[in-house]
Amino acid sequence: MMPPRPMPWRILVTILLITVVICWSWWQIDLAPSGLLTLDTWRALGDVAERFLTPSLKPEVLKLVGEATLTTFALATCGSLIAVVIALILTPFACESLSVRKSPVDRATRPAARVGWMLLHHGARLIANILRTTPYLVWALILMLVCGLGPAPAAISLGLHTGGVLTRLFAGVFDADNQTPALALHQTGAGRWGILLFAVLPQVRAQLVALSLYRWEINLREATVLGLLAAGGLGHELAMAFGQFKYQTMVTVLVAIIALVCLGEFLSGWLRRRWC
Amino acid sequence: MNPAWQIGERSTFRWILGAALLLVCGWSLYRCELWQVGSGTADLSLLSGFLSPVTEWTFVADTLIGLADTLAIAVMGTLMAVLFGIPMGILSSRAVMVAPRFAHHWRRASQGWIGLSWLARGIAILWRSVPEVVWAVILVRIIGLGPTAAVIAIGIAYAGMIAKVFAEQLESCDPSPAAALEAVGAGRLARLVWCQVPQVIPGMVDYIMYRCECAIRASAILGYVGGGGLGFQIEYSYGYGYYGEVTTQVVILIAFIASFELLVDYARRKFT
Repeated sequence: MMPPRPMPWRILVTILLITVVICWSWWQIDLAPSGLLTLDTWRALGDVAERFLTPSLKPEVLKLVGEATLTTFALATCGSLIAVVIALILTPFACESLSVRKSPVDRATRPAARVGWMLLHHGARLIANILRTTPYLVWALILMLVCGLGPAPAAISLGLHTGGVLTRLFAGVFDADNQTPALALHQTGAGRWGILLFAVLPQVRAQLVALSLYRWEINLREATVLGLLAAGGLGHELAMAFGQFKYQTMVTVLVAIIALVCLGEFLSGWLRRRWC
Repeated sequence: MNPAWQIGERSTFRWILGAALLLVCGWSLYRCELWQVGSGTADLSLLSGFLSPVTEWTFVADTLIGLADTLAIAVMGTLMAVLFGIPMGILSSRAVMVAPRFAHHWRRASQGWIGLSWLARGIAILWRSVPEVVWAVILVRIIGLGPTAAVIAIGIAYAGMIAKVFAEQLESCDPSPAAALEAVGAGRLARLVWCQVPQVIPGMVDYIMYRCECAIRASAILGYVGGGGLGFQIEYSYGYGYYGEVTTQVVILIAFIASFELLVDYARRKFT
């Protein structure tokens, strides 16, 4: 039931280390919870809470928020689509089961082609790692500079980052699958692409769909954040309403965000059950 | 085995669903105006500024201090998320408050506890469905600029997620040890502490480390809306058009995130 326990001193050292890191963090940012107890904070809180409780239901506000909701939804969907395309292109090279020495396919390859495949393999992994570790904020900053404000750079930056993440997840799924069908196909003389299409993909299809839906769900939240920084959509409306002290409009936007995120969770769960 | 492009058996329902999905995707692509990227407004010359990173030692030291702030915010945010998320997860878990699937004879918790359980579930949903950056925007207005707002924003949003995952793990762990303990007369708390929590500890440690990694990314973005740290410095340099500085800051941030990922991977292999 439980994994074997590591040595006690290791646990002690870990706990000590974590404590040190926490204390250092506290000291580093000079966190002062007592600041939360001052009268000003509570006054500001009361001030905000007082205006917060009633969302604005004026037709023009609703229209604005509706438009923004559609934009955010489109942004997330578009970003996820780009990401899936990137991941599907990179994964056959980035996964180990189709390209690396261990695989049965590789043993049959001529030495020169083998070196080429190793290069492709490492190149694809490097690209995926760069895409993934660069926060989408940075992609957005660069792309905004190149092609101006608007939903397109936001969608692409979301797609680039998510593409890296999906490649990593897809490669994990590709490598964890059952190798027997691949071996069987290899015996009958199928090449890499035959094995990919007829042995690997049919096995992992459902998991790929599930992972893509899961990232789409996350992208709905991230799209809100991107909108806040630049791109339009719900985040943009939120920042505008906040800047102009229109608290009631802001509550409407918040409700829309919560509704959109919950809808995304529900939809992706439903699709996963129906499809996978 | 079917080839890859035949998805499951064919039924009218699947055709309709597929067509609807295609429509939604097409509409999203249309709405995002992807063609504007290639339409001449692009100005690649601006990018050349990024190619000459600033490497003066004083600037790098400044950036490292910003990075330390960002890391500290992420750690404190994760700590707060754990402190709030774990109790909320226990309260909202069906396995703790009601009974696992087969143990029908367990006593249900009293009405008060059930009510508290629903309350915890509602709070967790509310907290996690608003992104941390949105929380930060609200909190900056209430508390003022600075890291405190960022810490609380991360704490709130991630507490909701940790609560959900903890509750789900408690529900999906093996119920038989708890049933055995129940048979010898142990109460709800004893079952939780001695049977259910030990089972989910490895999974939770893993998840919390993953959340900490996410928190570092998030706190870099929170800096952008007034949370302090490296994000604030990036916004400053970017806003004034010092793109060489942005390159340095971003490279340092990415290197740090990548090495943190390696560290987490190492710890995961070592301890689980």
